[in-house]
Order: sequence, then C-alpha cells, then structure tokens
Amino acid sequence: MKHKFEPHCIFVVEDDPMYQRMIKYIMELNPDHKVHVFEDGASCIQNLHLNPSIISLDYTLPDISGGEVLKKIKQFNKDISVVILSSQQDVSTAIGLLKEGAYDYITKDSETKERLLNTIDHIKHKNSLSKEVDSLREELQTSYKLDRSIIGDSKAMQKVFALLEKAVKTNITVSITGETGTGKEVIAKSIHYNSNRKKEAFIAVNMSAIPKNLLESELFGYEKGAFTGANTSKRGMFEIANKGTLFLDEMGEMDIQLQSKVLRALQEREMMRVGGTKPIPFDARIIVATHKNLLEEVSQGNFREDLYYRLLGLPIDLPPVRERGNDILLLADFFLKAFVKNNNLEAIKLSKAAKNKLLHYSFPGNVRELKAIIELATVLTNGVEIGPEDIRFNSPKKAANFLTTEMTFEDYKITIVNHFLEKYDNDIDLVAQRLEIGKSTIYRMLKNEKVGT
Amino acid sequence: MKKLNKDTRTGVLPRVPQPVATQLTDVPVSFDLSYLEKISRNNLKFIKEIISIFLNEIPMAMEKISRELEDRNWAQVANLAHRVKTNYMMLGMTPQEQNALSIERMIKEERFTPTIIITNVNQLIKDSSQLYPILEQELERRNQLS
Repeated sequence: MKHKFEPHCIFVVEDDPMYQRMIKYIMELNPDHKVHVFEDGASCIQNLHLNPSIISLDYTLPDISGGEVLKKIKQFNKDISVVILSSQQDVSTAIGLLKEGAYDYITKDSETKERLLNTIDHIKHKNSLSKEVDSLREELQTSYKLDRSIIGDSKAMQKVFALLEKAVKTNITVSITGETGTGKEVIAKSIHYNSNRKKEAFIAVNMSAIPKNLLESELFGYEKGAFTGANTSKRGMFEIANKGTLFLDEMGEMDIQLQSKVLRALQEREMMRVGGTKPIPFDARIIVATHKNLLEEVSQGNFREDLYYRLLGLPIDLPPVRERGNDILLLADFFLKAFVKNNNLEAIKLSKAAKNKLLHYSFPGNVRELKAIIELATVLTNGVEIGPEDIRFNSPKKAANFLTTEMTFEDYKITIVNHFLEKYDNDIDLVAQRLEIGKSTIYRMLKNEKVGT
Repeated sequence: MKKLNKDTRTGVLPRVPQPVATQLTDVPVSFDLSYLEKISRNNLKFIKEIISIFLNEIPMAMEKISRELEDRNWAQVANLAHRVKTNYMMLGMTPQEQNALSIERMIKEERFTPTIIITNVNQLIKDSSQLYPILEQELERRNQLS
C-alpha cells in the first residue's frame, strides 16, 4: 500500500507571545509538521478549511473561551484532535473538555514539552491507524467490485451477474448453491461489499468447520456462567455481524436441533445468548451457501422445511467450471496475472497448447483447483510461456470425474490404464489382473509411449 | 451541640488558605534559563528570541495590570496575572510565578482585600523592573556568543 507523503498540519492557538513561540518551536522540532499559529479563537475557526489534523488550543483566549472554540472545531470536523493547554489545574474543567471531545488536557508547567510531544505522537499513531483502516476498507471494496472480483462472460455466469445486481439492491436473504470451489464465498463477499452494508462487518461462519457442540455458542454467544468454562460473557456471530452481513457457509451441515434456534432468530430478528434471558435484536443480512441439495436434505428429514423456505430468498446457483466454456481461459489469465503481480515475476503467458489442455480438463475442484493449477504452472515453467507440460492435474477426484472430459475412446483407454499404473505403482501384472486385460496390451501401450509417460 | 470556636473550627473544617500579602522586599531577583535550555537543547537563537519577547511583553503587561489596579478592575488584574505567570515560569522566576498565581487565585476565589492585591501586584511590577536590565545584559552576552 502506498501513501502519498503529506505533512501534518498543526494549529497552535495561543495568545501569549512567549508561550506561542515555545509551542511553535516544540511542534516544529519535527520537520513533518506544518505549523500555523493563531492568536485567538476566531482566526482559528476561520482557517479550519486548511484541514489541521491537530490543534493545540489555549483554554483562555482573548475573544472566545477554549471550550467554545473546541465545540466549533468539532462541529466542523470531529476527526480533528484538539489538545487543550491551560494554566488552570481545575480537574472539573479538564473533565468537561475531555467529555466535549478534547483529546487531552495539558497543564502549562515544566513537563509541558514532554507531555505535548507524547500526545502528538499518540494522535499521529491513531490517525495513521485510522487512515490504514480506511485505505484497507477501500481496497477491499474495490477488489470485490462485481466486475473485478467475478470473472466470466459465459451464459451461465451472465445469469449469475443478473441475480447479483438484484441482490445488492435489497436486503433479501441470498442462498448460494454450487459445487465445492465454485466461489460461493467470493459471491457472498461481493454482495456485501456492493451493498449499503459495505462499511459494516462481513462475518463468515463455516458450519462444517466448527464442532457441533460449539456451534450454538459461536453463533449466539453465551452469558458468563452459562456452562463450565464460561468465565466471561461472549458475543456470538449474529451479534458481531449486526448492521453487516452474516455468511453461513455449508448450511446443509447444520445440526437439525440448532436449525430451530436459527429459524426462530431469523423469524423474530432477535436471538438469545446461551444461558441468557434477555432477547437481543440483530440486524444482519443473511447469506447462506451449501454444496448440498437442500431440498433433497429436506425430503430426507435432515433439514427443516420451514428453515429451507426462510433461507431460500434469492437463490443463486453457481455453475461448475466445466460448464463455463471459455471462462476457464479468462479465469486462468486472471489468476496468472495476479500471481505474477503478487510475486514480482516477469510477465508470463499461457501457450496455445497449455490453453488447450486446460480447456479439455473437467476441473472437479472448480475455480479453486484452476487457481492452484495455474499457480503451480507459473512456478514450474522455465520460460515466459507456460507449456502443457507445466499444467499438472492432481485432483484426487480426477479418476471419478474423467468421464466429464470429452476424449476419444482410445484416449479413455490410455487414461484408465495410466490411472491404474499410477495406483498400483507400475505393477503390470496387478494392473492387467484388475482390468482383466492381457499384459501384452499394456506392454504394447508402453512401447508406443501411450502410457507410463 | 458544642459550639465551635475559632480554634476548633480549623480542626474540623477544610482549611482554607488565608490570603497573604507579599511583603515588598528588595531581595535581588534572578532568573534561571535551564528550562528553556532543556526544551530547546540549548538553542541559542530560540532562547534569545524568548528573552526578547519577555522584554517586549512584560513591561506592557505590567503597565496594563497597573492601570487595571488603579481602576480596581479585579477580574482584569486576575486575567493579566494568569497570563504572565507562565512567562515567569519559562524564565525560571519561581517567586514571581507564585506571586502571580496567588494574585489570580485570591481574586478568582474572592478571598482578598484590595490592600493585599495592591501590595502583591506592586511587588510583581518591582521585581519585573529589576529584572529588565539584567535580562538585557544576558541578551547582550548571548548575542556576543553567536
């Protein structure tokens, strides 16, 4: 992340010329400070358009009281940090000003310099963190813009885009289905970061990643003493996601008993912590995802029908990569460029043969697998072009999915024999036995370099 | 209930400091620049600048306080005392800083008699006047250093 260097604009508001000179001197000890000096409150207020980040304000000014100037500054921009300098050691005055939004109250004594410099350092550190958070948030929102985060112009994806456009305009519950690796979480995040909740939290909970006995307290939180080990109370994900988006991934894995509590929370828009007695309202947009066919789960009694309909909302079905045609190449190019950029590599491209190899593969692991294949190929290639030999398919599902790749009958035979040779460590006797073919067939294929390469 | 006499009262009630008039003295006044030297890491230019500002500002402030005193404008006397006290602090003039603080507090807390204030303000004016030539010498000395 690059930050443009900008000096810190600091106002010194002080009517006593000696003290004014001293504070200016202290502030200018840091060459990054651009200091403007004002003798009264009115001139300070008139110059707020210069956008000071810090104001050192004398409490006793000739025209307006420090308290009044503080109020005006905060009305203009609440993010300006105001440090009050005063010869008054009255605690109640100090507390009053701090309540009004002053960052610190420093008495004019022999310790002023150290205290002032410490406070300025704190303010700058706080401001820098705050800028970083804003910048990261902006970066996140940009990276999840619909046209940047979701790649593809296949017909199947055009349908998805049309639904996404609708999803971001309202708070409707969205249910995303699709095979593993099709990008369900990316879709959920894109909806969140393009909706009017984008400045609030996006909380993702994977139902299959949390032990069943802990899921309820993770989702709803718990009160102190609710169970052994609950030494303090804790907020659940429903509460944390308030005003934002709660993404419930692998919803089909949720225990049926917990489903009823989730259903109640969604119906009432309020929930109860484990061990709690007070309902807590929440306002989170719900997005659920599953790779399972929930309707089938309903018919098998594994999923509540009422919850199914409550969650259905706007259904978005993500197509598997193998049904997305040329999107494979668009995605491959996207991942290739991103990997090259993130690793400061020289520009690398895919050869025609490599593209062809990709287009003829079924990608059982979908986008996730394609990304891994491209990243590995980028590392393996020795030149500036990825060849077919750099494209390696290592999916554990490939044996089960080989039929999804369109091949000739001869190529299917080669694939099968290769698979068995790999499985049985090139034991030709065993492979011939398992496939019920003659060993000579395998030897002939080996001789012609059709298998074992 | 036992009636509290003057002596027992001070024992049970919060003790309020009684206003004290500074006796006009001729004790030589002095200054200590160690505070300015410390904050500026001995920056000669800065220290000279501060002394110059003091020599410009304090005589004017003393004239003003004197006028306000003549007019018995106590609130303005307190404000001026409040303002100059940090100037004395910066030049390490602790007795004058304390005197200015005492003038400010007595007036703000309405625990004063005109005589006390007049005496204390006059002492402040006298001390400041005594200091000007000494500070001018110091400024000259530092000018020669640079």
